[in-house]
Amino acid sequence: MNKAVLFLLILLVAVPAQARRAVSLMPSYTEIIFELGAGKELAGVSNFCNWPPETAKIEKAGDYLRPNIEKVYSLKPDVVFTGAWAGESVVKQLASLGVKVAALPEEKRVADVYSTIRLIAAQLERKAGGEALVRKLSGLLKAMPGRPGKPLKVYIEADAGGWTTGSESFLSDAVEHAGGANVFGREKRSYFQATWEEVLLLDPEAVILLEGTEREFLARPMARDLAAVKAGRVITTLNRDAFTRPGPRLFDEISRLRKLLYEKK
Amino acid sequence: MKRSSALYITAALAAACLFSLAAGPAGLSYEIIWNLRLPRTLAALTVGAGLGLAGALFQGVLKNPLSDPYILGTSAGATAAAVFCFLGGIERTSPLFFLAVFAGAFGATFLSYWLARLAGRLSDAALVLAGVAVSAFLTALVMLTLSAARERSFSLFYFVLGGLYQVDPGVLAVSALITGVCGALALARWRALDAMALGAENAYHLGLSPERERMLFFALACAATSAAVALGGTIGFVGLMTPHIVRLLTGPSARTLLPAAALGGAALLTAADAAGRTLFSPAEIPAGVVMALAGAPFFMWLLWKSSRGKA
Amino acid sequence: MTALKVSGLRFSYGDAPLIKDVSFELRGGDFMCVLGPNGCGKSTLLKLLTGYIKAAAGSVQLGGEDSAGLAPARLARLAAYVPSETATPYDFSVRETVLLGRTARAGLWRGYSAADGEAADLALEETGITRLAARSINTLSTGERQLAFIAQALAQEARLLLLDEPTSHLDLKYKSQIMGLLARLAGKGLAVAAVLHEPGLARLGCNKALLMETGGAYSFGPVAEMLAPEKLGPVYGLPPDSPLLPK
Repeated sequence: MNKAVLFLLILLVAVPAQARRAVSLMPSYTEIIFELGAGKELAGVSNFCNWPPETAKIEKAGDYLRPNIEKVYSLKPDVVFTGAWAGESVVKQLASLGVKVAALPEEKRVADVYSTIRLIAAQLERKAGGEALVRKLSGLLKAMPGRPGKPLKVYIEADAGGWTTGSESFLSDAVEHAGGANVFGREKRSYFQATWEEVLLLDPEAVILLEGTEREFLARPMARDLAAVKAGRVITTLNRDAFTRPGPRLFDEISRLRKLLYEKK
Repeated sequence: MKRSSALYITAALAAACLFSLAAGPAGLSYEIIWNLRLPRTLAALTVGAGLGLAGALFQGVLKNPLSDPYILGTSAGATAAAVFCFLGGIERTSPLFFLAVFAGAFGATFLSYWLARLAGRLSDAALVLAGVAVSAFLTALVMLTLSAARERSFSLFYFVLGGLYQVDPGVLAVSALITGVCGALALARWRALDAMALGAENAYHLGLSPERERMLFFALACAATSAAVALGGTIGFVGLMTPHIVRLLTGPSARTLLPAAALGGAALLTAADAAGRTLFSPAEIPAGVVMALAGAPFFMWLLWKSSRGKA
Repeated sequence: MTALKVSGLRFSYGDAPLIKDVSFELRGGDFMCVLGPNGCGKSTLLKLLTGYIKAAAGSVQLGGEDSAGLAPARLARLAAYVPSETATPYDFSVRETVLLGRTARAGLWRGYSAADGEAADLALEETGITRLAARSINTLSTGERQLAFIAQALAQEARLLLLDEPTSHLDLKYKSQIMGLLARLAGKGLAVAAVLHEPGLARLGCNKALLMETGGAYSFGPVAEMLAPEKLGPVYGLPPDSPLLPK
């Protein structure tokens, strides 16, 4: 009898405690939350959260640059996950409305994803699950073959028109993990637009196109002289969403990239 | 004054071309100059000439020194057309893209004209207002689409910012041809343009059909602008400032203003484009941004110098 | 040959008739002043003569040719018009402004020909502003500006010169100077018609006068007759002994 009452009491306390409502304002956070098995706790996501497919049924609360504060508030969240993109004003406004905000720092390295996972897991009281996920993802990296002696020089085009990244971005770090060397790796900056002439001079041995077609790329003057083009290493088959979000799918894409760069077809 | 100003402008043009062809991280590599810098220089010359010419034409016909080539909705129309192309999967390098942008630019201007006509009065003020309305509407449409179509919104943003990153030789040839023809035709009618500056009524009494002349100049200016935008996106500042800068040197008569505006615009944009891609290597700053940053103070200096001369 | 022959000209803005069956003739040597109260249609009449406004009925013959079918370029060679509003947004020089009068005569591609330059210089001389030729038009006084635009009209080398309120904003010196100029031009064979607000000026050279009344009534005849106070007073709604009417 006592055990039954105790069990009921625990249920009464635990169930409301478990009915947490979270709002995620970054697609990568949403994916992490689902990987942690906490997808049901999401009361709201950003407009751009499109993975996994279950997100289609969740309320949309604006984009990551300017979330709809009122909408977020009306969802009565217990915690809101925002990223560096949203800016201080979002955090301040939500805090002033009495909403708990977890403002997560921007991921500049692949390893920063682990910290993001841990922070989110802590908020959702799933520390064990968080550690398991981190182990699984870092395991994916460790399972790859070792770093090659002479890494291929890689030009990453994240957006059409020469938009690439320097060393201050997880994209660059991801390519390094995949065994490549970002041709602009010595630039201490994140996103910028590089001159085509510079790219030609650096003569990358592989090109990753996250936007635009190979045909457009080859139409650029002297594109066919690039080592990457001659070796047939113009890579357009990476999953753009998966590779450009500092989330769980990034690690699979890094493995894929490793294969695309080094395995003979 | 006239001969020396022609000299200044020619010298500036030559210097800009030299700068654009010779400057770059690869140094004086023949291959790079021929395959990369030459098309880009030609594109900058064409776009600069087209926008400078169009700016001068609009400022003359609308008698409004604040007119730029985009005043009648041209840039908004071009951008809207570019949006639909991106959404429809038409690539920047396809001839269909050029046609669409050209049609969009021209169409928006025609729409402004037609709206002003509907309102009854084809006065210059009515035209400008119609242009503002059309621009605002189309821009809002573009913004709406931008926020919804995340996938290609960056490419579109880049188009709106304007830049000569990718130059298609076919597009370049067509744009250059259109710009050249428009320039020649406009210059042929230079007297009419000067007379139009006195107003429609006075132009009539001097022996012109003001309505016909206005439509002709609009068409020429619009064609030149559309060709420039289809080639290089909506680069700002050139069309507005070049006629003013050049007018300080050559005077307001279209006979000298039109060629000077075209050549001056070509020189300014080429120099700005070259500066944008060499000064911050490996990063590239769009030509329009460089023009505004450097051109505005330059214009202020010219203005100050000329007002001192007059006093 | 008559420079200007008007027959049965009719026009109205909306329902109220403004100009009813106006007919008169002007020859080379005539200097006609057009007088009447505000809103009686003086400026409108001038614009009807040049064809800028289309008449409802009647005909206007310029130098023997019916103006109705003529292209603006041809019209500009037959009749020159000096407007009352001369806003110039850009700083053209006086000479450039005068040269614009040659628009109707100049060809397409070339610059101005020697003949154009000569006509412009002659016009500048005639109006006495040769010394201002290189100045910017926007730096001139109102009176000098008026002379510049008269010079522009003269450069057109038309036989008929129409002026809309050429003296309205000028001081007495310029009023007298311009009337003297117009009288001289008429003396050289031009037919001149000028809308004036001050009947007294008509004494400075006019030989004909056209009095227009609100509602369409008008009278035309020699200036001595038309300027009689008994005739002039009713036109302006003034008593014949009003000090504003010329004696």
